[in-house]
Amino acid sequence: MSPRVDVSGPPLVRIEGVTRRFGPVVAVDRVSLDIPENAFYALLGPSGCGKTTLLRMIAGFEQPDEGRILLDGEDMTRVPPNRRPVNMVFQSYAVFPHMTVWKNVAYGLEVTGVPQGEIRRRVEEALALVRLEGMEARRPHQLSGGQKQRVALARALVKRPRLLLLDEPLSALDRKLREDMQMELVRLRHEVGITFLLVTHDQDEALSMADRIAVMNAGRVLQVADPRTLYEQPRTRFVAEFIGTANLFEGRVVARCDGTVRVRMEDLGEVRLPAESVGNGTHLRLALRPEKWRVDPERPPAADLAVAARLVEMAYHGDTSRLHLEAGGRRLVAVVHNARRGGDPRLVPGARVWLGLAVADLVVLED
Amino acid sequence: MESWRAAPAVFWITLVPGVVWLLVFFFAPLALIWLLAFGERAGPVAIDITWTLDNYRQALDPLYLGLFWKSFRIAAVATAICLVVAFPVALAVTFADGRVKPLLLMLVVLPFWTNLLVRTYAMIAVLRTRGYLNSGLEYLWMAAKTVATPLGLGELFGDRFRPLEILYNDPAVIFGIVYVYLPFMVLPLYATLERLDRSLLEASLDLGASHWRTFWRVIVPLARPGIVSGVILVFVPALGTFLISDLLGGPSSQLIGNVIERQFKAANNVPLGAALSFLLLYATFVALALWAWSNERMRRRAG
Repeated sequence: MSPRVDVSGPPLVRIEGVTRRFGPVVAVDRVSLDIPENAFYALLGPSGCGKTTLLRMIAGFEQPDEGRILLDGEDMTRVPPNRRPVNMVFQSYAVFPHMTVWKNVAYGLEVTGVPQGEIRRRVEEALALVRLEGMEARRPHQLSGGQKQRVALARALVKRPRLLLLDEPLSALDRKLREDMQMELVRLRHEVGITFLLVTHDQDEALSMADRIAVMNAGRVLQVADPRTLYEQPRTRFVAEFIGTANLFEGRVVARCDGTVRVRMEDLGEVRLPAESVGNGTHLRLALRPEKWRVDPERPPAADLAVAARLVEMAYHGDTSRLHLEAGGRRLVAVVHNARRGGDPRLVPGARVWLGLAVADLVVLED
Repeated sequence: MESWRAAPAVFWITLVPGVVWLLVFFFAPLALIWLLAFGERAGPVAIDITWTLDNYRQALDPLYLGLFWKSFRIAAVATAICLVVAFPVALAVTFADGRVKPLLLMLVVLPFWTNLLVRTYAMIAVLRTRGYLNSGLEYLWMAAKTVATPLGLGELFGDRFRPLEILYNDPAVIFGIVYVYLPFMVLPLYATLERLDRSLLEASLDLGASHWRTFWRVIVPLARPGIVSGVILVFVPALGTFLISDLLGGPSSQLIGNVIERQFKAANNVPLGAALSFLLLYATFVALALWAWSNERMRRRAG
C-alpha cells in the first residue's frame, strides 16, 4: 500500500449501509466504505454492479433509500449537489458546448460569486495544470476527446473540491491516449493533493492508478484492498477472475498433521498447505495466477508440485505470451515473459512441457 | 453522403412532387401578387399591369405605416408572451415521466383538432362582458362579499359587481394570438430541450450553480435553436393575422392583415392589397434579419 494514505485517521468519506433500489432492482445493496483522505480510490466492477449509482449518490444526483453518506464527518445525504464540496468529471465530459474553454472552467467560480481577479488567477492555474494553455478561446467542438477531458478536469479541479469524482473518465479515449491520461491523472493527484474517487470497469486502469480499490459486484462490495493485495490475495472467486486471470482448482483435504494440511488438487496431485490458510472445511477452492507457473520443457526439480502438460495454443502479446495448456484432462493458462527474442523456441503448440508451482503462490478462496 | 450521390435517381423522384407543389401553388401565386402590385384597376375584375408605383406610394401612407408598426408591436408582444408561457411547458414535458409524455404532447396539440374559427368564437364566449370568465369572477365576488359583510368589510366590495372589459380591445387580440399560436412555440422548444444532454445540467449543479442559474446559463442558451424556430413560427403568422383581430379586437384594434383582407375583398383594390402584402413580406424579412443579427452578437459576447 502507498505510504501516503493514512487509513488509521478519520476517513474523508464514510458510506454507511447505503442501499439504492430502482423498482425491483437493488442497484446498491447495504454498502459501507471508508474513503481515506488523500487516497486515489477506485470502485471497480463490471457494468451494472452499482458503482456508478454509488458515485452519483456521493455527488448528490441520487438519494440513497437507506444509509448515510458522511463527508468530513458531516452528513451529506440530504445536501443538494450544488452545496457539496465534491466535483465530478462526467463520463461524457459534459463540457458546456456554448461556452469557450475559459468560460467552461470559470463557470463553477462565477456561479458561486468568486471575485473576478481570483477567477482569472485560478482559471489560468487550472488550465496550466491540465496543460491547456493557449486553448482558452476554443469552443468544445474544436477540441479532441482528450482535450475535452482536460477541460472537464480543469473545470472540476478549479473548484478545489474535497473529493474529485471520476466516472469512467478514460473509457472514450483510444488506447495510447488512455495510457497517457492514466499517468497524467496520477501526476495531477500528487500536484493538487485532492482525494480522487474513480469509477471504472477496467481492471488495468484501477490497478495502475489507484492506491485502494473496492471491487463491486451485484450491488455489493466484495473486497477492499490495495492493488497488490487484490491481485495476489483475492478473497473470492469473482475477484480472482475479474482482476487478471486465474487458474481455479477444486481441492479436497486428504489429511491434517501438525500445522500442515495435505490437499488433493483435482487431477493434478497433492500439495501441503499451512493449516491456518485452509480453515476447517474439507473442500476448498484454490487459485493460481497464470504467470506463477514455472513453464519448463524439463521436469523442474524445485517445484512443490509439477504437472506434465501439453501446450495447446499460444497467443503472442509482445512482452508476454499466453499459453493454453492441457493437463490431467483440464485446461490451464500460463503466462511467460518473452525476455529473449521470440521467447523459448521449444514452446510451440503440441509440445510436452512441465508446469511447476510453489505452494506460496496458491491462494485459498473463501467461496 | 457520397454513396447517395452515386444514386441520384432516388432524390429526384422523391423531390418532384414537392417541387411541383411549391412551384404551382406557392411561387406562381406569389409571383402573380408581386405583378399585381404594379397594376391598375381597369374594371370590376380586370387589372392592367402598367408597372406603376402608385400602389406602393399609396401603401406607404402614414395611416398604413402606423398600422404596420402597430401590427409589429402586437405580434412582438404576443410572441414574447408565447415564449414565456411555452418555455416552462416545454420543460415540464421534457422532464415528465416517459409514460405521460405522449399524453402531454397530445394535450399541447389538442386545440388543433378544432377549427380556428370555432376556437376564436369560443374565446368570445369566455371573455365577453357576460362571459364565463366574468361569471366566474362575479361568483367569487359574491362569495367574498358574503364572507366579508359580517366582518364589517362589505363596503370594500362596492354594491355591484363590475365585469371586466376584456374583450374587443388590443389585449384581447394579444390573448387570442397567444392562445392560437402557443403550440407552435411549445413544439420546437420541446424538440430542442428533449435532445439536451442531461449530464450538462448535472454538471452545472455539480459545479455549484443553483437550479435557477442552471436554467439561465445552460438550459436557455442551449435551447436557442428551439427559441429561434418558435419565435419565427409564431411571429410571422401573428404579423399577418386578421381573423383574430377581426373577432376579438375592437374598432381600434385593426391590424395590417385586416386592411389587406379588405383590399382584396370588400374594397376590391387588389393592386393596393398586393403592394401592402409585399411591404409586409419585406418588413418581416428585415425584422427577422435584424433579430438574428442581434442574437448572434449577443451569443458571441456571451461566449
